[in-house]
Formats: sequence, structure tokens, C-alpha cells
Amino acid sequence: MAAGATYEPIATTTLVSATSTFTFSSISGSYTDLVLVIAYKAATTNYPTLRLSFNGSATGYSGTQLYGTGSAAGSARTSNAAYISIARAVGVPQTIGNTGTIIINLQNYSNTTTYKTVLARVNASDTGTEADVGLWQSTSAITSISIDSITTNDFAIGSQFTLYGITAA
Amino acid sequence: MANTYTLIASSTVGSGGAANIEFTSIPSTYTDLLVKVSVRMTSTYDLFWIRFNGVTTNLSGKSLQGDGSSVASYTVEPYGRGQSNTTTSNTFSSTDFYVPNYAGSNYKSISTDSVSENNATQAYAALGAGLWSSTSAITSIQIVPNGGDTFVQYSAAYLYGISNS
Amino acid sequence: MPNKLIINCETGEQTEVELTAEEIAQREADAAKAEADRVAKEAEDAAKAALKQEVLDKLGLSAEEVAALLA
Repeated sequence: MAAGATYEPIATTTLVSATSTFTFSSISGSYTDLVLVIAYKAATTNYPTLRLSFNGSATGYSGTQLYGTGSAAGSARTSNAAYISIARAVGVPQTIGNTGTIIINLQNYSNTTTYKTVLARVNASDTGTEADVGLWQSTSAITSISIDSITTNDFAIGSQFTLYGITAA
Repeated sequence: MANTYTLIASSTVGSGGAANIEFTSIPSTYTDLLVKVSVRMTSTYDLFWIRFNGVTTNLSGKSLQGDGSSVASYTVEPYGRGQSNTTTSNTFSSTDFYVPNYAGSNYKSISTDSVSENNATQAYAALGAGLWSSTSAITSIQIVPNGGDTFVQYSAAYLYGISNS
Repeated sequence: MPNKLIINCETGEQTEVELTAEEIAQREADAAKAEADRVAKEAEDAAKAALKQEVLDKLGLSAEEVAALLA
């Protein structure tokens, strides 16, 4: 039997002004998994930690990060946090104008039975590579996703945010 | 809503082996590219490079790599692990290179995930962050073995296009 | 000398093409550099191992004992 359509683009935006925060809201629950791809362009030299949160909630988050700086490897974690840390050590560019790639996977995001897990990869050639895993201890379906930088207006003009839905059947 | 994640082209190495694998005339109509590579090498080298538009300059990156007993991070151009000829026979490595906005005028970021498991004492898992500091659209991709090595028969590479609308 | 494998994404055609003289020269240069890098890395690893053993000998500890201390 031929497979149905999967991996569909849900929404996309390319920034026309620098910003600190981006939100996808009113996310349909009809997919199985979500993939958020951010083509990050640096507006500053901050290479900030990015804060990932869902449905406007500021509780119930934890995560572990594994990173390489180009000369050292390390790991860190957060518990009972107000957000999931993305690019906590490295992974967004520090050189203004440089680009980096952020890929965030949200499996089974719309179910109302289990807690929500996140797998993320963050890469920038001038700071390093990081793999992040996160947990949101909520059984709510994810209907909005916010990502913001811990410092101001780090996402440069031309940064692109795209949300894809993956359907299992 | 449009379906995306489209196979643009695929290649499989024949009995004579291949000095490199090259995708040319890449259309600019997608948003992102994903290159999936599965290779085994002729000699003891176990690494390959990815290059764009035939250019070997302005490539930079950092990696995080484990080998089963230790972990290290390197400052190095984007690479993938290949299975050398000393590894368990019939094993091929697996690598993904994700390149967003490949046809745009920003510098090109490359996200790499690569493994070369062979059920032996040493294998590699590598994460990579790369950058091609060029404003040119990517129109060709070269997969090049390290050290002038060769890809053996059944090595393969697949190029996918992902559209955001 | 193996050929390079070229896939035209417009047509899907896969062809094997002979390497140019410049490409052959580049491969040979790559091979020489890779071998030099390998030799240099082996020497560096050997030097590190020797230094590590020297320190362990001074401390009168085994590597396992040091790992236990640092755990």
C-alpha cells in the first residue's frame, strides 16, 4: 500500500528584524511527531542559551546536554527548570553573520497520556556541537512552542524557523 | 499541505570502487538538503569529507566524537566516519549531513551525525557542526575519502530535498 | 585508478568519469598528508602515554587507582 503524505511543512517564517523570541501557536494535533528546524543567523556575539518551552508553561522542565567545543567535551544538566536548555554550552554562532543549524524533534507531542520528550541538535562551527535531551513533565498536548534567547535580539534578520509535522500513518 | 522530504538523486558504487561521489546540477527549488551516506573504504582510512561546488576552502567546524572508550572534541572541517578495511567485513558506516537554506545567500551551516559501528573494540559516533563560509547557492556536493582513499562497491549516497512550503 | 562517480540531479544519470591529472595529484597529496598526520598522531599518543606512565610511577599508583580517586 502506498504511504500517505508525511513530513509536511506546517509553518515557516524568515525574520525581517532581529528578535529574541519566536513562537509557533495553534499547532494542530493531527500529526504524530514534530520537527522544528531553525536556520540561525547570529545578530550578536552572545551565543546565548536558548530556552524552549511549551504552551506558555514555565514549570516542569529538565534536560541533559552533551557538547564539544572543538577542544573539550562536556556534559551538563538542569532539573526542575522553567524551560529546556538548548545550546546551553555551545551550538549557536558567536560570529555576527555566521549561521548555525538547530533541529528539535518532538515525539508524540499531541498525546494526553505521557510526558513530552525533546531531542535536539545544535551546531555552529565557531562555537561547537551539542546534543540536548529534554523532558516536560506534562501530559498536555503541545499546542504552542516558544524558543527565546537568554540575551536580546540574538536571532538576526534572515534567520528562518520552520515547523514540520510527521504522520505515522 | 505539500508533502516534502523528496529524494533528489541516489548513487551506489559499482565493482570498480569510486574515488569520490558527486551530486551535480542540484536544483535550487528546495529549502534544505539532507545527504545520507553509507560507505566502506578500500584502505585503513576511516573518514571522508563533504565539500560544496568543488571548493575546498572556507570550510570550518567542530566535532564531538566517541570511540567506545573515550570522548574528544576536535576543530575540523565537516566530516563523516567511514568503515575502514580493518573493520568487521560487510559493515558500512552511516552519516547524515543536514544543510538548511542551501540555495540562499547566507553562509551554509552543516549539521552532521555519523556512526561507524562494527561490533568490535573500536567504533565511532560523531556529532559535527560545520560551516561553509560562502554566499553561493550550493549546486554540487562532493563526498571525498580522506587520504586519497576509495569507496568500495555498495557504498551509497542519497540526496534529499526538504521544502518548507 | 578508480573513477569518480557523478550523479546529475537534473537527469538522475550516474556516470563514472576518469579523474583529471590535477585530481590525481590532489589525491596523492591528500594521501601523503594523511599518512603524515597519522604518524604525527601516533607519536603524540606515544608521548602522552609515556608522560602518563612517568607520572603514575612518581605517584606510585596504578591507572585504576587514579581513576578511582578522580571518580
